Amino acid sequence: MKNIVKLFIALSTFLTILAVLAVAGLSPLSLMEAALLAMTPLALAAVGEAVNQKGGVSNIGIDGIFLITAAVAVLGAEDFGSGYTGMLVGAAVGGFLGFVHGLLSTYAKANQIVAGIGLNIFSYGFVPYFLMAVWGFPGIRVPPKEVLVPLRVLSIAGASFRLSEFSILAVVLAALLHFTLYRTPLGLRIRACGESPEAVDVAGIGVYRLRITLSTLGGVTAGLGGAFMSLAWFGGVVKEISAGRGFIALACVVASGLEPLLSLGFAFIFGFSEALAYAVAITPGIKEVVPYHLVLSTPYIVTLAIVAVFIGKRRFPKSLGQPYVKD
Amino acid sequence: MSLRVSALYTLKRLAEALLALAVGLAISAILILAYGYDPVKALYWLFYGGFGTQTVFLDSLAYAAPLILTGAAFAVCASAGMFNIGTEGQAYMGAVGGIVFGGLLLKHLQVLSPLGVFIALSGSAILGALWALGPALLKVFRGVHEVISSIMFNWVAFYTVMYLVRGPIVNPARPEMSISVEPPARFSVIFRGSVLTEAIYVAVAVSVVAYLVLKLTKLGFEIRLVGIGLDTARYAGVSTRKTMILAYLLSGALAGLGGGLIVTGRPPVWSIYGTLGNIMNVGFDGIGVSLVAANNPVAVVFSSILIGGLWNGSRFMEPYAKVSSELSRAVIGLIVIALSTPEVLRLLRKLTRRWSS
Repeated sequence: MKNIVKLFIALSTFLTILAVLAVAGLSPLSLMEAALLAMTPLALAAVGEAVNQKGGVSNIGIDGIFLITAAVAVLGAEDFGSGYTGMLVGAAVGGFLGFVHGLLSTYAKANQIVAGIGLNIFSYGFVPYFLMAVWGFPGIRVPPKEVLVPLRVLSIAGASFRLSEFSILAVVLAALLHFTLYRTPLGLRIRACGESPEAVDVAGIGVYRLRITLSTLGGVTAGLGGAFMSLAWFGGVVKEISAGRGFIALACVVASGLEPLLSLGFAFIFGFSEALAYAVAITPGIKEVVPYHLVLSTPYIVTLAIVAVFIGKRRFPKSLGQPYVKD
Repeated sequence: MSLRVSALYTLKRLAEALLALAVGLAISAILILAYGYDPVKALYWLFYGGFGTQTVFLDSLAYAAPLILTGAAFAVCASAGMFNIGTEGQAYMGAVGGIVFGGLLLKHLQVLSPLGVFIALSGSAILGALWALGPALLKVFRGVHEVISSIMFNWVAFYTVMYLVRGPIVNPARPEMSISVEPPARFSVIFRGSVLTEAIYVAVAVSVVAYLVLKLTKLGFEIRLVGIGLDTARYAGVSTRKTMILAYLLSGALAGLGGGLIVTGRPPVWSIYGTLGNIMNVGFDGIGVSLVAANNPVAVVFSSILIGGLWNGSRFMEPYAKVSSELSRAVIGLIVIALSTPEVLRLLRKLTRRWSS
């Protein structure tokens, strides 16, 4: 009941904001369209990472996974001639990177934060190298239109509205993972794995195997997110395409207290603030007053503010980030 | 620690760093080979271009100077058990501080000219520390993990500095860069024909001071206690909040100095490019520098020379081996990943021992 009231308050606040913006001359429909596009990579990565962290492993390297998969997905799409195979390639490479991070965090007992930082730094160097090596042109690749992932065009009250099926997939995934976490025996194991891996181990379930599986899953969803950025959202890849969004996805995860559904909500807020920032930055009448570069920094400031407000009430799994050592 | 024990410890860490370097280079060689380039040629030019001749080595030292400080910045925070990934943004702000104090202020208050470098660098340190205050407060009072908040601060710094160098502090004569620091705030070149300036003396001295502060002062002791564990520190009567904030501020000031050394200590520009090209990555690479040095501010001096050499050498790898210079950053990332896993390194050591016996 309490949650329904909260949802109602959030929705009505949001509609009020939309109404105010509409009066200011920004079309609510095109804002929503941009917000859903910006939300999708964050949401995909966040729901996967939320479950990964519930199991006790935290992957700081999502930004690197975004960047690498955004680049390889373009190659996959061009080689196989379809954006959807590109998405699959992104998911596979993301899964591989998540798997490696899982291996490092379990058997190799890595310091997970350092490993994640390493993955990010690696990607900042590898992707420009990759772009140059594959296409022989520095820093950017725009594939032909035919191999991008097309957006569905709906008509709402006479106006057209572009939507990707992957945005819907993100919502479905969030619901599915929420259900798995709280309504299935597997979900119980996952949560126990983060709270007291010893107990899970004693019950005869492999802690390492479960954690590696979750890490791989988190990598797959982050990989889908990275591929979505280049193939569905921007229509190409530049060497700094992720622009710290991996960390915004992590912010969604921690602000939600590792809840898939709630992190979807935060992903929408960040997506909306990014859409709004871009809309403001190019709207005539506003863009002359507010400096372009300062407007672009607002999504990051919103992230800071929201995390600072919401994180205080959250409780995290006891063994999050700790390597599990069998006695 | 007795001399023997500490010598053994140092050797062990050195072996670990070298092993990680070997792992990083080996995987990079595979990546180079995978895309049809010649790994031997690429790595040859990477190292020859970084360390091969006296001229390039001096340039590598010049690249190392700011890295020493961003590395020491990460090391100080790591001693307190925190990750200052915000060194990048703090270095940007430090560069701006150098421009504002060493450029704008000195221009209007020429009486300060004899203290030029000092004024510019204090601007850098102040702005760097201020930029670190945000993540520190969020960490201590709200429990926001410093990695997430400081990345957000990095991006805000990126766009803010982008705005500043194209607007308020743009060079009216050359709009592709900011105004320069005044000549009294510039370090002089040590050897003609190289970009190495006396800035490196400052970098080394400051990192040694940072080391001494950590080892000998009360604050340093408290920082290390917090690094061991918050409960331990509290039990010893340390104010953990205050210590964490101070460690973060100290770290931010060091990173700010690192940014400041680029605008005061690297000819010929003495300013920030409009693309931020000349100050970019100096903070991120400090992370690798510090981890290779096992988070010891003095060892950081040596690992900076290694990573500065990779930076410098990568400029030769591109024309002579056709391999994109940015691959050097991938090498650094791989080294960091290798260093995150003590088990893998232990395993490798065991293997090499088996082979050698």
